[in-house]
Amino acid sequence: MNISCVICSDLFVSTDSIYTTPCGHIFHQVCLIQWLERKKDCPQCRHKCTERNIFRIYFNNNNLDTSSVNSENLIETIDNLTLKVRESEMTVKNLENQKNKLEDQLQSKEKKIKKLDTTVSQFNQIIATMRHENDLLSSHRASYKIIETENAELKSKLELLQTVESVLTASQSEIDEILKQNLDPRNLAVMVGTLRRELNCNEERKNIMRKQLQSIKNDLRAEQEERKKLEEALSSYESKNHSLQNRLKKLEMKNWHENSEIEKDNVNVTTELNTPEVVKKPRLALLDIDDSNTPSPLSRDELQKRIQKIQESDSPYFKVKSSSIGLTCAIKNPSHSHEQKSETIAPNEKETSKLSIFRKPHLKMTLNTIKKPDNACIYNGLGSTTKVLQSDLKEASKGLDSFWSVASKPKSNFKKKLSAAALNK
Amino acid sequence: MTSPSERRLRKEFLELIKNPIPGVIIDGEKIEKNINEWNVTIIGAEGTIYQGETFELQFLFNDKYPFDSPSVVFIGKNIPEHSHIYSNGHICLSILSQDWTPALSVGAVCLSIRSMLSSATKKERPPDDLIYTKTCSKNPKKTKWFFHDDNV
Repeated sequence: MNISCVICSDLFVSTDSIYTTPCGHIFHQVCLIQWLERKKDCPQCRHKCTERNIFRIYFNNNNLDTSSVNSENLIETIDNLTLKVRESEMTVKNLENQKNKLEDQLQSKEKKIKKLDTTVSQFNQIIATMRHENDLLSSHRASYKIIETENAELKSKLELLQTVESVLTASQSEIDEILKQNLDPRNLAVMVGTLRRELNCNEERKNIMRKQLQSIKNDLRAEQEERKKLEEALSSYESKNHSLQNRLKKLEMKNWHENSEIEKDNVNVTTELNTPEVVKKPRLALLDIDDSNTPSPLSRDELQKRIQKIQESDSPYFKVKSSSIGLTCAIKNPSHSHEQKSETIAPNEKETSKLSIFRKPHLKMTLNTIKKPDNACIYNGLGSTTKVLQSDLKEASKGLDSFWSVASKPKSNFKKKLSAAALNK
Repeated sequence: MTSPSERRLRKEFLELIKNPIPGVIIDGEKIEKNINEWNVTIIGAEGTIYQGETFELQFLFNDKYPFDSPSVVFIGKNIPEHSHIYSNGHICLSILSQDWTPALSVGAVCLSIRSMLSSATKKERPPDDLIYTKTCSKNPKKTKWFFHDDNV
């Protein structure tokens, strides 16, 4: 019986109580009554219907036809089962989906794990490098600390040294203040040590200076002795000079007498002008008096030679001689030879001035005063000139040379000593 | 033991799976979880003003089903613009309230709604839409409907 109730949608079974409405639609009794309680019409066609005008109907169920009943039940069961199968299929699908999702998740997780592994290895490497760097930095730090401590020590030392330096340079009151402030025995010990060293140095220096002073004193003594000698020599030369002048006067007197005699002769014998010279020559061979009125060619040549000799000699004699009298006249009679001389002497003077320690004033004086007599004449201070004998000149120059050589040596020695002392300082 | 309402709903569900209604898609998975709450998708019929649109219906059943009518509302963002459908998703349809019979089913209701949509000629809200949506209850079954359009 393949008929179902529309309300509950179940198939009618022969044992069910089936009711029909006046319009002919059939339902289960339970279903129809339940609906009629709410509304008095047919559920299918809305035809008016009450509990009174519904009827029970009966199907003639053939006992032989049990199979058909079974088949209805079977259809129902099949329906239920298909529903269940569907449900189970759905669950299987869901589970498969879940499985797929989980697999995907697993794969992604695995990928993540791989990535994380790589990152972990990278981090490990980084950590290793960082550790290495850290070690390096810690070692650097240690060295830095050592350097810092050294620096601090050096600073303290520097401060100490600065205080010591200030002590060395400061006055007594300042030193007292510093000593009051600085009560560290170590520092004080360092200070005392340095001061002692300084004292020793000063003493050594003092000794050296003393020695130098002694040597200088000795030099001075030697110089003084030399000076005395020179003065003695000068006095002797002056006495010589005086004697020579006396002799010259005598000779002049003689000459004057002789001249008067010659004049007498000239009155008698009026011959050539050259004769008196010829006559004179043998007489005056040694004296060779140069008269400005009668300059002989021979004497001029000789004079020039002598001048040249003097020029070339470089002898400091002239300087010494400059103190002697009567050379100013030479400036009044400047001649050709005199100009030459002044030119040639100048560089020599410069050289000597360089060497000399008694510098400018004295030397300048000599420069101004040294004017060579152009004819090697010596003015006697009485307005007349006398010619100096060559031998005398030579003697004088020799004596002066020797004096100069004696005088110059200690000077140079002294100079050397001075320079050495300066260097030692 | 399953209640008579659940048995009936299961049968309806099986019938719809066996013989699906064109333009009506039922959410099987959700129904299997909770048989008393169905989500049905209605596709706008071709040749109508709702062509290409899809709307979602929610059926809520109580344990007196099929004697009690289900509560049927449109849900989601797209609620069809119709003279019998309010903007909150409530549907003014007689078979869902006073004209309900136990002979009706989910499929029958879906068909009725789809035909109602298809018969519309222009998109418009009910004239009392604003007042109704402000005053009505959440459950459309608590509304006493006054049906003025018998054409549906």
